[in-house]
Amino acid sequence: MILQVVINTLVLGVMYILASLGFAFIFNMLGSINLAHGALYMVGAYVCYYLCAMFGVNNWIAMVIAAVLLAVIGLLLERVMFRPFMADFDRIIMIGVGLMTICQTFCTVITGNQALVIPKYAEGSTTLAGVPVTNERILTFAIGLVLLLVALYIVNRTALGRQMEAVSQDRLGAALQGININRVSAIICAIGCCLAAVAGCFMGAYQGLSANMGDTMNLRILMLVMLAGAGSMNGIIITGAIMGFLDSLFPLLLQGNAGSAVPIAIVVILLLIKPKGFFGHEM
Amino acid sequence: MKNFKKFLPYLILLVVCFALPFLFTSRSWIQLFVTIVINIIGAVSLRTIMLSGNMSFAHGAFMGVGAYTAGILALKVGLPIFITIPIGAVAATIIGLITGWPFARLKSIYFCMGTMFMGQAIILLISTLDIAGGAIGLTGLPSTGKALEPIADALSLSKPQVSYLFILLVAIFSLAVMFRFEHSRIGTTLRALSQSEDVAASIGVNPTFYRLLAVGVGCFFAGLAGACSAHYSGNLSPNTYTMNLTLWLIMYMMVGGTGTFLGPVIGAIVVSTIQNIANLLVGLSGTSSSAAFTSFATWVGNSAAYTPFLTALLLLLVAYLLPKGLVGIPSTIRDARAKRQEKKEIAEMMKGGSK
Amino acid sequence: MHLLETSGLTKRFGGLTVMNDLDFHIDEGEIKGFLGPNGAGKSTFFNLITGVHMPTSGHIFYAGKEITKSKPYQVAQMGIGRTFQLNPLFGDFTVFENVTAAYHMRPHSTIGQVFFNTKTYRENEKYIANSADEILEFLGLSHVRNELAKNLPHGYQKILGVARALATKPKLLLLDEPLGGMNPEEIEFSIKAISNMRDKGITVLVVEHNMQILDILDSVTVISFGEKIFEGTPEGMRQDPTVIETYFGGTV
Repeated sequence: MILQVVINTLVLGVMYILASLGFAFIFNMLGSINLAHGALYMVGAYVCYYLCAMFGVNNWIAMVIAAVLLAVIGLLLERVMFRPFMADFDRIIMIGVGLMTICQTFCTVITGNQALVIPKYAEGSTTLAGVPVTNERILTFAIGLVLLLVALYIVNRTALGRQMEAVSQDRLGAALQGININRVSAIICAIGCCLAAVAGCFMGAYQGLSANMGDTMNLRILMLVMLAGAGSMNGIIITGAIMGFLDSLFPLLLQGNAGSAVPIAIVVILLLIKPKGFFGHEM
Repeated sequence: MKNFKKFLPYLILLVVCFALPFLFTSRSWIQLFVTIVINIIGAVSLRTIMLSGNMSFAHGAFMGVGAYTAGILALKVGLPIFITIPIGAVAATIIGLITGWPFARLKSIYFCMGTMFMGQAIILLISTLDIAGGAIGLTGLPSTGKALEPIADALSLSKPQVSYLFILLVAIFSLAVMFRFEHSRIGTTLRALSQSEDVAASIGVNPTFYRLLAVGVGCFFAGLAGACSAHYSGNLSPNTYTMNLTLWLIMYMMVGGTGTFLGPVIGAIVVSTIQNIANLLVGLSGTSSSAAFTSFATWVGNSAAYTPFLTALLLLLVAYLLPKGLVGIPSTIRDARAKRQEKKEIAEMMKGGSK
Repeated sequence: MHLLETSGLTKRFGGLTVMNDLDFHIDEGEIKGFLGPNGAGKSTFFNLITGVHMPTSGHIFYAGKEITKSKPYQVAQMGIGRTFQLNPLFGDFTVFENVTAAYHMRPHSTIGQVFFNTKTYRENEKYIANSADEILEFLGLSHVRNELAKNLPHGYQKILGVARALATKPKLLLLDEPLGGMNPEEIEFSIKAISNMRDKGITVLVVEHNMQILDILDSVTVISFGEKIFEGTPEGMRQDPTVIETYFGGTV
């Protein structure tokens, strides 16, 4: 059981972090809460599924197409949602809920009550420390980790990452330094949505698709970003791992809703200790 | 006379509200009216909390607390609904104050997110309790219609009609209290607090006390609305009181306009009507004699899954076009006109200057 | 007994000492200046008294009671009113509402009275409206009574800050750079208004750069880098070599 928890923690943790990065980018840079981010993750998974099921596309190619599509949607959203309403909390929330509803309704309408699963990315299993682990999970973890490292490399080591940091600390100052704020935030939105789509594609194979997968993930995203605190990219790695661990452990220990209630309760308590997150700066 | 003019729209609204169950006697219509009235209480009480500047994302959960308290007391203890409903409201207030106290020091987005997780945790924890019926919820609660049967018989009204009238009275009471609350010295202090906490403290306002006061009042009426709706429908499920309910309460408020007391009322009426239009038509088709209407209603019923598109569209329209919400339409139009006029004048001046 | 007294007041932010071992007092009925060059710690001193910041060490006494650990709202309820240097205000309120908002302490209506709109509550409200208008009259703001506060010119906003503080009926009024950003007429008017406060029985402590204020001060404390360098009358200050050196960087 311990090994199972460890493996689930690793897989879930990486997926949570991947899905959250886009949200965190937008939250840190623009201060906006994108309630539709979970819905975008779901849309990625659905696009991937339907490409596989209806057009017989190989699921790896489907994933790439879904990621590209979502990146385009990200660019679009930046233009029509985040840029015009950046400081307007109310309207960002409204648009977020509107988008969320549209995505959810769309997915409900096309799937009905069917249980859908994206075809497996890999067959067979490998024995690790005497326990068989499916290759699927190993692959999910490995690819997720690689993408995560790339994202972290971009944030911490490249010019784009430094521009991002500058914009998140002082927009006006960054603009006066000659940084093209709109270009930076557009790229960031595209990358973020793209990563969410990839997470959706993997989770769609791992846990299956449903019209409320976006809601579930949305809550996770919000929790781990708030726990990490505003402005902290690296903190997300730690809180993502914690979230993954809680979500792997408690459903095994407790039955029914208690398995999902306890992790949330723990997060609430942690947030009460440090309301502004554990790794962030003051906002 | 001036006062009369000011209250005239409210008076008309009131008369219409009381007349509705007699004009539309069908069960489906009354179901819609009850839903709207409950949502109005929910949205207005949410705005009461928001007066202090913090938007609670746990409001649906407090409706749930009220509903569950009333439901458990009615089913397991056997109390009549006229006792369980107020107790439900009080329970929501108590839970609201206890959980709100640690959150009262948080501001803006941190308050929103903290309360969001807390609301989710509260409902999930309730749904783990055996006494609350677990993940399924409770069924067979004593209904308002049953409790009010003697009155219904005496006035020769149907059970749904009298239930609606009862819930309407509860709503009128709630709105009256919250209206007084907002337009009193306390309301002024809360709005002052929402604009600048530092300045408010410098004139002696205890921020924690006033925030909690707003939370207490808001949660009381949320609990009241929750308890009423549980008793009206006779069953309750944890799935009703999730994040989605809270989000929609927030949407009612924002669509109507957060700036005025009337905003959430209008928002709740418009949005919940759209949300429930398909249910209404399907319900009506059962009783209708017109074949054309029945087939139309069946078609609507089959496409009921699409109705959220309409609400989403409304949200986007309001977000993009109406910064002050539905209530602000007149002033938005006025502003746009004034701007156009100004532009014209400037253009004319420029022309004159170039001559 | 002094109205307000601090002993050994020290405040450090991290390693930076902004206030070091300050002994200070102000007597009832005085108009006292608290002067010093930029960054001397004047605003920090106000924030320490009003409980916005907690002192690292030292004590603050107000009317014989220790208020070192009091919260901002408690300090205000005890009768210390203040204005802010950057002058935040309730921007979405009118000028009149800004002032009436400050009356929520006295006359005090209980929650029950407010809800049931009792006679006491209505009388209190009437008293508040009259009294607020009096304050607006006193400070020359009557003609902008119904303007939104955020639309006022800067000088008026500063005066509005004073009006709001006055409305709390303070015994001690702390003014943080009341003349900053004002034009000469406004300065003249404000100085007269401040000196009139003495007649209303209000003790005033002023932080100010503008030396025109010296004419109405009873006594002056000068600090530099968190240390007191002078205490005495305005005339004495003008001749004090340490003060001159601090302000002008040399002997005159």
